Amino acid sequence: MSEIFIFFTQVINGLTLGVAYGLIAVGYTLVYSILRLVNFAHGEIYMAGCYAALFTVNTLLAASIPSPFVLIASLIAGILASVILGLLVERLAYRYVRRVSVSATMITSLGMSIVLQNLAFIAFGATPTTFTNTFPRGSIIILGIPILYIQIFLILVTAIALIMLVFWIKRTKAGIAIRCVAQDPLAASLVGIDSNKVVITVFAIGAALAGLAGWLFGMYYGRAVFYMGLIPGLKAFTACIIGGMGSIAGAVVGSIIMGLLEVLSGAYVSLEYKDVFALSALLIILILRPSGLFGGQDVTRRV
Amino acid sequence: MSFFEAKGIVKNFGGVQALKGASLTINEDEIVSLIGPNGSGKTTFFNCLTGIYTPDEGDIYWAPGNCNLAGKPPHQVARLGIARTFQNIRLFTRMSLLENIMIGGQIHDGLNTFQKIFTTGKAILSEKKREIEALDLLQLFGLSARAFEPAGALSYGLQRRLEIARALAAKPKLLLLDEPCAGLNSHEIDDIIELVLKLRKRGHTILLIEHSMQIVMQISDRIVVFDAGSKIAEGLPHEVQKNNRVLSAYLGDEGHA
Amino acid sequence: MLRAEFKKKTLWLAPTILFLLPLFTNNGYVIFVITATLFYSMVALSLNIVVGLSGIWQLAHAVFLAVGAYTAGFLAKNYGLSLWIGIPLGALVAAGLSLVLSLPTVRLRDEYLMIATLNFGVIAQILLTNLDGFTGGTAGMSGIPSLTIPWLTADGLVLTGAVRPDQQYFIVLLGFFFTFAFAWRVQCSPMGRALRAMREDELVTQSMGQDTRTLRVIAFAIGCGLAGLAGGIFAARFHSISPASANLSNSVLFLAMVIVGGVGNIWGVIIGAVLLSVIPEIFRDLERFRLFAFGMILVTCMVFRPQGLFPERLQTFVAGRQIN
Repeated sequence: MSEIFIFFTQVINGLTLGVAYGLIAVGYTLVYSILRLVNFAHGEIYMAGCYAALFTVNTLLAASIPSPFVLIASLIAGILASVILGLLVERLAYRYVRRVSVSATMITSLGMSIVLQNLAFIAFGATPTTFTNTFPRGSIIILGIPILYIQIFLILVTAIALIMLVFWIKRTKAGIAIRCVAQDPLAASLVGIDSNKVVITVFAIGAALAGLAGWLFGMYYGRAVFYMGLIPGLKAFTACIIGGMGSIAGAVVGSIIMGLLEVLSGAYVSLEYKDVFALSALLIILILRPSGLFGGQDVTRRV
Repeated sequence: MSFFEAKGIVKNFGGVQALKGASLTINEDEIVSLIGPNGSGKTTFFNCLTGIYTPDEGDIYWAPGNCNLAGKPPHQVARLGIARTFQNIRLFTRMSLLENIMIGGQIHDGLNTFQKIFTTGKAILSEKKREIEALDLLQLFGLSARAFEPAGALSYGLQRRLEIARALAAKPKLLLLDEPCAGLNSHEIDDIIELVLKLRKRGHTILLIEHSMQIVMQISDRIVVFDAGSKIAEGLPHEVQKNNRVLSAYLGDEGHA
Repeated sequence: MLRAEFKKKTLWLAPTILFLLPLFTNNGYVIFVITATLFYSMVALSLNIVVGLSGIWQLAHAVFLAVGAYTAGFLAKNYGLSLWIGIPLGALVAAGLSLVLSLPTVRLRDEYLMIATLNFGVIAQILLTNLDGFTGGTAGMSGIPSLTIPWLTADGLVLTGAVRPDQQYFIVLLGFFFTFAFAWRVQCSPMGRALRAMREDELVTQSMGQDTRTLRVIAFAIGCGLAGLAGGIFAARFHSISPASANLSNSVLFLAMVIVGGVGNIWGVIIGAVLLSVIPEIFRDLERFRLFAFGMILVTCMVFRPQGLFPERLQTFVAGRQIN
């Protein structure tokens, strides 16, 4: 009997992880839909948000500022840090290399990823830095399954953020501009859409979501380390491909699948190899259905 | 069975049906021109013939290979003796003229993988042979003085010639030319016409896509007309020129005499 | 023309200097640096075949190096297999492993190929860390024996009584010459031409009768095999290998050598390897900043000179020799 409850506990764990990955994945997919660019440094932008939130928490708590304010302040700090970093990276590096080729931009983003990872290493060292926990501990029991308060919080916040994003993309002028450029950059410029502005907007939104993820993950795991962006970044990207590159819904669904895959394989097969299972999903989806579940961009070469 | 026969080729892209049962026959040593308004499916047809697209329906019978070409990948189609040029010139711009031609010739080198990598005895002989053939071709096309320049350095007209030369290096039994005169001035067009006639004299079979009726009238043995994805007329040049369906396809229904 | 003749005459100079070097210096540090440079050059040359010659963006090259090293080391330690056999076997294993990566990804676009190789790299590193039985876990494998040249004993080549040439140095030198010769042969060959054409325009190359899928897989296997060879030699020289050697930072380092030096240019990537192995030695004290510096060099290079220091020049090869 308890087997089933353990299973569903793990499902909740996977779901929580998955939606948070979704925040990162949506950033990837948005940038890709506009620029055909895979921003390898995106994981590091998420890391920056986490570190910023962490330091805000630690500093403010040390100054005895009450918990709710600390939470909000750290959220703002996390998002700000990520957005600033994301825009800096675009302005200083990508903008110049975009003209050359997509591959060149990807290599640049790879280099940026290494630079940012090692900046964090130089600044913060190799050992993880820890958060002082500010979020109320505890859980509620639904149908016999324990769900942590923070898990509910995480899922709710992510859901709200994603709903806001979808609404924004579908209804606002800026959001429509983004969809126009994603479909046909030339036509969009012909109707007066400034593609540079769109690029900046997309980078900012993607970074903000990554910063949000950094804040959430920070509270969930309680720590940050310089290499924390690499593997989640790869998983988020794998999620995008599973769902279909360029599709926001695809990114979210794919991320949830990745989260579930990671947690369930970790629980039922092997903890050390859970990442192997999660990342191998990429090879499997590329063999079986390269354009993803929701049929995103064509991933194969031709012509 | 004729030399080359495509029957009932259907090709869909999403909602658009680019080819609706297109057919075309070619006899050996002919020059056949494929004409038709924009969007009639000519280049799509070429792409189906050369393996770049797989037709959804239809067969392509190829006598020299005694097989159905439909669905075969491009490199196999090439090895069966069909070479082509492209509508927008696709040369290897960063490679020299000589190497552009030699790539075409490599198709017949008959080397195995080891020989290809380490250029052993047999490969050296084969390469030397290719080199001589390539230089001959360059001479035929009047490009031998610039054999070691990058292909990107040539003028548009010369690039078109080089592309044809490259296709010929593969010693094809059927040569497909996709709009060989596009973007050329009248002087260059005359050169191409002269070249195509010379090739026919040398025993090549050619299928070409062209827009301009004038060019097509001068070089074709037969003309096939496509419109909206299928053949609407075929025959000798002067017959097709007077065909009402052809005229209305090109000029619209109000346009014919 | 003068340049070509100058090149021909001086071509013999560098190898001779390298070969005789240990006779003129007994400074262990200098020999160490040159050994490292030779080793990195081997890796850069192997990666150049994949990235430079064939245009396949491979970001997990360090994995194949590690696989070669682990294979050779494992066979030597557990089965007493001579490294003369073990190292080539390691190369073959690395080449075979490359199929796992190349076959499913043969038709992918550049960006997806990069991600696939990244995933592969992380997976491989996890496997190397966790397959304790074979690999010795996180600490890796140590105590790998040296590769010895039977007739070149330490006493054999002493001149002026001043120097005992380091056998290990000659092993690495040998490996470098082999890799260089191999890479040069591939570049000049008909296959090299087909690869360069494929890199320019894959569809047209197919239309010219080349099976580009097979070409990609072969080029990939050759590049990874040579990396495995370098790995085996690394293991023999430094007597140990750990999973950290297979990490992303190393793969990016190798890529940086190729890119900074000049993608596709054999001499360029060697110079890239020299620069990126010598410069860190100069700044030994600032070890912490090493990877940061590599990242910055890569980014700066891409922004200001994406074609690298020595971009590929137009060369024509016929029958395995360069003409023009």
